Amino acid sequence: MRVEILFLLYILSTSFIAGMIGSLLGLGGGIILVPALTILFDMPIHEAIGLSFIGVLVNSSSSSLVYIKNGITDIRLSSILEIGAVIGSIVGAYTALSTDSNVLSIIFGIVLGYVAIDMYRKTRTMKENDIKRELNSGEEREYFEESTKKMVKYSLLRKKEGIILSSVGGIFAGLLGVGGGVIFVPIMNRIMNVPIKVAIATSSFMIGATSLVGMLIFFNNGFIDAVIVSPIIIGMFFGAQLGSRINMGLTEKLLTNIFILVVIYIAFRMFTNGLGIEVFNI
Amino acid sequence: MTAIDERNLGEDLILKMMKLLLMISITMSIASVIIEISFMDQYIISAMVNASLLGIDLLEFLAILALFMIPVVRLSIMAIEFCKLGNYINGVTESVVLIIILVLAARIVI
Repeated sequence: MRVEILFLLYILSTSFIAGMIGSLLGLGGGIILVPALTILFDMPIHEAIGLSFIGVLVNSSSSSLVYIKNGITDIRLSSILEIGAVIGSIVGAYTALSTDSNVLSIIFGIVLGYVAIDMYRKTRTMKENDIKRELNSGEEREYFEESTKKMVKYSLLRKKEGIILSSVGGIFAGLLGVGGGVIFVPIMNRIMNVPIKVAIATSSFMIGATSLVGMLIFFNNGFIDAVIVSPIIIGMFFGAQLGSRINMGLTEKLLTNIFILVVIYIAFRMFTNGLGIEVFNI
Repeated sequence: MTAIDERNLGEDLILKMMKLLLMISITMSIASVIIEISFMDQYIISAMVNASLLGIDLLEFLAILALFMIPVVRLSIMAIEFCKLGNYINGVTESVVLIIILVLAARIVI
């Protein structure tokens, strides 16, 4: 099937931006790509979710290359959280297939709104504690902080809670085609006491598996339009490469603030979209 | 074990494989887009360009297949490396995830 060149270019540039922001914030890009495809291109949300899984998989692999190379990814932690996340993703993907598009959009908006509020509360209440972190109270780990050129120590806490909550994250990942970074990053950062950079890198690594599971289920049900897969792969790859390089030089506070702003905007758009209210249409 | 110590968990091999498969996927995608936008498929009467698998053009199929292989390969490497280090819980976890993925993939093909 022939597709218009301009359409391919729009998809390519949208994927590039989604990949860059996604990688910058460890979100996989799905929370940008799904709303972009539905809001800008009037694509049915189920198709957008199917394509988003592919984009998230590219983004995850691409940014993981940079994070692993720099020793930020906590591979053992990802291994612990992956099983719950993958099972949750299967449940979520099958639920999404039998859920109405408007309901999915509203759920998308609510989930993102909650995440933004949660992260905002965290920056207001934790401040110094967030930077110093709780030490000597769990499994000790460390990583090299590029912006300060120092090794940062942290203690891994509440593993059991992390595993249970990661399966909830997996459900939302499969349900909304978002990879799950939007849930996994706060779980690791807030509950397991993992610094946000390590949380972002580890989340990027593990969402490869959750998005692949979602991709296979949506592909099996005919919700992946192969014609526009290529520009999404190209855009997400180069976007993710740029995003993960920008991430290395940014401070934890700035990253968190960008995360909150992006998530609030998308939450609002998806919620109004689900209710059928047209706001600031581009 | 710290994040830095874990660099011996087959990370170099994972990095190499991920890089290779990503490059294959990107190359196939770029070739597919070039053929699409340059109308080359109208002039090149080639079995390769016109062939399709599972209802997808060959180049796009190869791009998706390479992407599919990334988590499969890295899960395999991690399962083996964790077992080598005697960390069987992590090894089994990785193996279970791998089996789930392969079963889902088999459902598409069969």
